[in-house]
Amino acid sequence: MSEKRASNKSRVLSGAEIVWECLIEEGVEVLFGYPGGANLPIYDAHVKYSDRVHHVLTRHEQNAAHAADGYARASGKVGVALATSGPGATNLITGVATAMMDSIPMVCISGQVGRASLGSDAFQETDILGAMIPLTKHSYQVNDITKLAGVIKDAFYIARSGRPGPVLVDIPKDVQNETTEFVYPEKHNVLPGYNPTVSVPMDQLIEVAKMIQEAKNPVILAGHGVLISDASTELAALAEKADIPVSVTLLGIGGIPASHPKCIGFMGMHGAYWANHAIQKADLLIACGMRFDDRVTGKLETYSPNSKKVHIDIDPTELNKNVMVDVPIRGDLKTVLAALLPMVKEAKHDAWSTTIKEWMKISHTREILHRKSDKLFSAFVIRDIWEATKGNALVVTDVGQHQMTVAQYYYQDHQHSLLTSGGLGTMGYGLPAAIGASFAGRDKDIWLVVGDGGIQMTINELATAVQENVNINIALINNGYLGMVRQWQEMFYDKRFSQTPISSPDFLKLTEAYGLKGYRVSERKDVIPTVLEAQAHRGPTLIEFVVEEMEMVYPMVAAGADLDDMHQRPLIEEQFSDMEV
Amino acid sequence: MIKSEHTIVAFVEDEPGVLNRVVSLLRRRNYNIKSLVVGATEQPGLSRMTIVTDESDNNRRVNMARNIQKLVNAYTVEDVTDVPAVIREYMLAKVSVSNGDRVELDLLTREYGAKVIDSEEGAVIIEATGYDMEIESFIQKLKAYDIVELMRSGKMAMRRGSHLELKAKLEMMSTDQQGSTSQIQSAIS
Ligand SMILES: Cc1ncc(C[n+]2csc(CCOP(=O)(O)OP(=O)(O)O)c2C)c(N)n1
Repeated sequence: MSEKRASNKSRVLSGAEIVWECLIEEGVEVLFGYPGGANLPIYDAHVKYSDRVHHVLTRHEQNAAHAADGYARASGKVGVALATSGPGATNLITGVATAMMDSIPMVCISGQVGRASLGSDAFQETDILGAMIPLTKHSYQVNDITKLAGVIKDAFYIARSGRPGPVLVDIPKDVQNETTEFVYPEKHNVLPGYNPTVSVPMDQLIEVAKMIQEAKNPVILAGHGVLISDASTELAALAEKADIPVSVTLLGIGGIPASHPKCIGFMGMHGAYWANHAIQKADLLIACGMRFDDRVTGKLETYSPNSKKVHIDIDPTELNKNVMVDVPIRGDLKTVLAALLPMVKEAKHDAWSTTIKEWMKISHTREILHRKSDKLFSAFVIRDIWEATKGNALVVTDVGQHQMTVAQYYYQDHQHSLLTSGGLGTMGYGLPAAIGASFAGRDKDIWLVVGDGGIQMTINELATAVQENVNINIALINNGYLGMVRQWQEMFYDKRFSQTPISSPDFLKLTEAYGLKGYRVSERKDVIPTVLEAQAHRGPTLIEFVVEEMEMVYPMVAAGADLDDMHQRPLIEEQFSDMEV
Repeated sequence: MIKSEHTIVAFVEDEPGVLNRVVSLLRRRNYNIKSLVVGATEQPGLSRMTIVTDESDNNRRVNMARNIQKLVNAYTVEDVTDVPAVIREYMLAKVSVSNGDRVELDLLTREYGAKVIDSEEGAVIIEATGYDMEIESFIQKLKAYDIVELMRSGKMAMRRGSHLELKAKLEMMSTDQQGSTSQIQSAIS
């Protein structure tokens, strides 16, 4: 407390010092970054602040952004990344775009050339503000040191309020060196047009309650908004009270426990057969904090053709964007659901539940887990990691087949426990995000599941993992291919595997070189013991699972097809004849 | 009936780069701008944009206003397409004219409420204001002469009637800026 008061007393500080003071005021304990010419003053000042804010040196600025993103997703706090001007700042872009698509609160600070050189194509000058405008929630260039503290205050407020997102703060080097009196503003100074709090539209809720009462085949679609708004309890209460099955989007996983009796799993392109069928046959969809991405709708013209639709989202621009709905509700999901609940009558939809169970039975005849095989399928690996970790791990994925396999087979009961790049689908996200997540202070084992393609995009971060001695376990699913693209080539390009076979280094030697514990597993019986052994080890570990090359992720809706027009895994007997020869 | 043009008025912060943000947004969301006019207003620090697009889809029209409202630099946004509003354009035309034609041209100019504002070396500059059909028709008539240069400003829009809510709202917003926990509902939410 006394320290806090002291910090509010005005002092003359440099811009660089003000940056650190502001971060401390915002409760930042860790940030991820990379130094260079244009942020040197900030790094120099860090020497004084290093005991209060831990700096993690990633091996690439993209990964600093991904690590900040992983930290934000795992902690619920704003992630912070720091880069120099020019190439440092442009390297942030993929990480920022990833965070933007998935509504992740993040503040990125970039150094910039001095004000006198702005616009002159100076060494390492790039118009990062211009480049970031379409990729950020908001962006600032601070050209007046007296505004610096206020801008950082506003940046954090914008990043975390309403629909969260990344905010850029670009600071010319001479502003970092200038001095001014530092006072951290008590309140943000964002225009009132930016109004993340909205009142609950009661008349609309009465209508929704009536629609729920009249529905026979209702489905709730639960997206990332459930987690962001902390609405899991209200969501489950609604599902239980009115007996409504809940399907989740990729980022909505964990918004309702996978083991909850009303949870019918993951929807969309690689979603559950029964979930997609339920959505298509529904007479009422209640979409909660999701945005009807094309990966979850399939062909829009035939999407859930007979349902009335309710859409609740904090961002009004998401309403009636892709799917036209009967009742668009702008609001904070938790508040809206809490207001809706008392208006909803208890109900039972036994016939509907039975229908969905029938669809489940159909897919069970094709379930790969029921296959007896000596081969190591990646689905087996994920299923066994789930068992070994008792479903309690904080799981991070990269992008590709393994990501979808995790969504299908790591039955997630917990909130904020699957970190994955959904909207942008950024390969290379996994490793740095897992490193970032390890700083969130969650009492959970961290498992990164990553492909042999994706890990090679950001494998340099193994050095960061070792330097920081983070407790992350890497399950590398090595199928020798860019698996997901290979799958598309198999299905839609007549098996022409153009540039998808990919070679890798000897990962055991590589782990040795980087100095982390490495294992290789190629038989099912070794999966669980090795996972347990790795997990018991302090510090980073990597297990290379050498899996079947030609495995496919099923079921699958081809891009642009009807949501229930699904390619299914062959029946178990056919799988034998097909694959054993 | 859906009008072929969609007109909105956006009140935004008068800050460097705000126009860039609006235009970047419209490009990214695939809106085709037919005209865009920005200028100062009665309030310091507040600029006013009139944006005309050819967007015909009603949901996309609504979402365009919402997207602009979502910009952190936006105060408020009004869709004036379907409300009574004055939508006007300004035009400058340089016409090369012989002395013999001058009388006739002056008559035409007067007929359209336009004005000759410069006359030198056989050319005159005419200014005109009006709604788009008037300007259009005036230009058609001017084609009888030799048009050397022509420039249209793009459209400016203002709602008819006192519409005092807008003034009240903007004033409230600018005084409210400190610690904005304001509950003001934006026009479009
Ligand atoms: C940065 C980036 N480049 C390309 C892609 C396209 N892509 C999506 S999945 C995939 C293959 C991933 O292969 P791998 O990492 O081995 O994982 P697998 O699918 O085999 O599990 C590719 C190339 C992408 N998503 N991101």
